Amino acid sequence: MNACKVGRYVMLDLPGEDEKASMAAAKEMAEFVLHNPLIETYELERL
Amino acid sequence: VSKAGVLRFPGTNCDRDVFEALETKGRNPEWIWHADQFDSKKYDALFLPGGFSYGDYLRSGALAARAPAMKSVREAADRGVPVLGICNGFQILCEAGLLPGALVRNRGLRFIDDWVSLKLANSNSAFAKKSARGAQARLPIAHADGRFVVEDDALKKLQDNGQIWWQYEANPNGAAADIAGVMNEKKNVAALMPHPERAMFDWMGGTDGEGFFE
Repeated sequence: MNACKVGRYVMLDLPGEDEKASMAAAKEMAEFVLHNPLIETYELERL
Repeated sequence: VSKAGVLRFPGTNCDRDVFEALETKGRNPEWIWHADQFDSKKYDALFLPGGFSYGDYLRSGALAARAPAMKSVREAADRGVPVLGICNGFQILCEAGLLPGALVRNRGLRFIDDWVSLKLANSNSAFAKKSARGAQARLPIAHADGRFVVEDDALKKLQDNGQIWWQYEANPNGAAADIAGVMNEKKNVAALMPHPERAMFDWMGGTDGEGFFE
């Protein structure tokens, strides 16, 4: 095994149709509380 | 008599112990509810007790760090009011950015409930300049997320600025530089993983915690 990564999966259901606004809101939440930049990284993905 | 504020978040469980430790030392403690902001000039010292605020969901201390009361804690800290975090309180202060670093899962991945020997690295904090036995203390620990981590350059800064407060004699959790407690740059915000409120009387197993509440 070359690597093993343990992570957290957070699924957000956001109101509104505007993808750009929703991604901005998700980014804001990720930056505010959902990740701690000292010990975690994050990626956002639209489902 | 000076007033000491004791913060309570959902899931805090060492609050009563800290409150009584302060009463024992003749302080005048008062509860502060997590959802309420308060006048930052009202208290001479603030205490963030241990526990499992918000069930440790997301990350230990992460949600408590963003509670309304913490806005007032930040204001008080900026004004130089002494703030002491214990265990979960340490995790909250790191998550709030009032202290450097973060506390992650113990190296051995298990919850540790034990007594540890500590050495005082710097005596310039607002709390426990000296314990009953001088530069040594024996205190209980009870944590799963007690491994202090910090970036290399930030660790060097902690060492250069004398911000390392207490160190473990025998590192129980893999903490960087054996760190059990740190301070902010101004030295008025300090926190440690061990529980001084659980070492107030001989019947508790030791009295080295007394100095933290004087």
